[in-house]
Amino acid sequence: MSESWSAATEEGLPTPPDVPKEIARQAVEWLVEWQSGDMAPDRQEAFRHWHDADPDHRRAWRHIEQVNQRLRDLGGPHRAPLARATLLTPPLSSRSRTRRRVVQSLVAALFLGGGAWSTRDAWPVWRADLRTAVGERATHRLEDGTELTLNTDSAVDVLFDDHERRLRLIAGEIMVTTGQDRRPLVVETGQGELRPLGTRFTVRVLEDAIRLSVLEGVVAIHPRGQGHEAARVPADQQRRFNAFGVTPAAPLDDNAAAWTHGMLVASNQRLADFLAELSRYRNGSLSCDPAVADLRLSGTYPLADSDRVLTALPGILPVEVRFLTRYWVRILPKSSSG
Amino acid sequence: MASGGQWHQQIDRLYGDHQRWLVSWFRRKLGCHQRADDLTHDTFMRLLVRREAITVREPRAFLTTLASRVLSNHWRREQVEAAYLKSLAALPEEQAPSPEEHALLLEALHQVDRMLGDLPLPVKRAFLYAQLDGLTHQAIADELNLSISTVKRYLIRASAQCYFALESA
Repeated sequence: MSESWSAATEEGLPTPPDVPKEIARQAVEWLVEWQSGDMAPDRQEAFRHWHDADPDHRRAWRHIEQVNQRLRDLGGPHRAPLARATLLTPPLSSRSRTRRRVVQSLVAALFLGGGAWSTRDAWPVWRADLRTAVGERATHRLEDGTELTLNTDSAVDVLFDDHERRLRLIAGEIMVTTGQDRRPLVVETGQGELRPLGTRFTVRVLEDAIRLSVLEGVVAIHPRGQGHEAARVPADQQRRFNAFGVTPAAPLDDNAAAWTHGMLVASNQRLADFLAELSRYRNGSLSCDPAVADLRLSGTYPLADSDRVLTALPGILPVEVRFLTRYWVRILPKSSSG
Repeated sequence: MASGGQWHQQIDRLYGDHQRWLVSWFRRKLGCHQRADDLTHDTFMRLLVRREAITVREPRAFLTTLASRVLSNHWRREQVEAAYLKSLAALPEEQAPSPEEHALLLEALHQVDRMLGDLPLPVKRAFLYAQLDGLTHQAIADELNLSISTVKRYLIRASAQCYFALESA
């Protein structure tokens, strides 16, 4: 029995009846003729003859109707656009054709700088050596003793050879505490490379830049488009960079390392910015009404339970939290009646 | 085909020897222990469902092949769910499904996505217009800027695969 048949059974769709291929194909042709929208009465009569002529014909046709029943659940003016957008997501494929395309796009990214990487090509993220899902955090001890922590929704390739220890940050955010080894450690990003000199630091992929925050030691930045060291960042400082340059040094962000302890820290932060940060740790849509976007809040919040953080908001700010589903949350001004 | 008892012994041995190794393989790929356990379970379930003789010189290579397939299914499901949530967020609030409807809808989408498999996107698009919107061949041709004969060819190809797992002729 073929792979796809048993697979269909596992997933709960009606199993195709065991009819000859030729009959299955006839049934499909009749279906498509019905869908044409202009089937002449004599063709409809011909269909009825075909249908009644053989039990296998009837079985094949009944199967089509059963599957169509299933498809109807997804139709209608409201559901169809949703189903279409979901089902037309290009499939992942591990076939070499796709691999090659991704490799090409990575090569293009190397030469064109940023952009292409931050669009988060699905395949490199999903096939990465190490990966975390949304809301997860994981720490790995690598063979050289380096401790690598991945924040929510992150992906890293670990490429160690005789000459160097290379970490390729594909998406998300990591904290690196370097181990002792004779081989140099390099953190590769879409925008350039980081060369730490015995140290602890975090690296985050932003929309169009990389943010480096150094907690201990010193890290050198080599933007991809420059090909040489552009800055050295000492402890307690952070900088952003892209393929072409580095921003001036700034003091460490409250959240540079708080996430490694599972915390989100806000000090006098805009609600809209706070929600944008929190939404990295949960699936679905999290947004706020413009009327409350500029309210400010302070505090330390646990990342492990972002639902609880949200339900606590009305105790801190004059807002109301609307959970339409777990995946769709909107913060509104407190209604005057309540 | 191996006899029933022998075959179960083989699976038991495979499980006993390599289950922990497979969990850590998944864990490295996924970064999540819970799901690594689930997918390891799925992988062995697949073996059980297949009921084929297992003649394996290199059990780990064999398991890796099987596990890669389980993993790519898992990724595709995640990808479908993400695409679903994204289009959901773009809907006006009053059209959003209720939480119960939401779960059913997502499961149906996973099933249909599997059924469509790796058909080319234009073929899927034509099929969905016919099935979800009930568009006629002419309307689909206009919508996608194709000839009617191409639309018909696409629909036959998609239907042959979706209903009967037949490759296109």
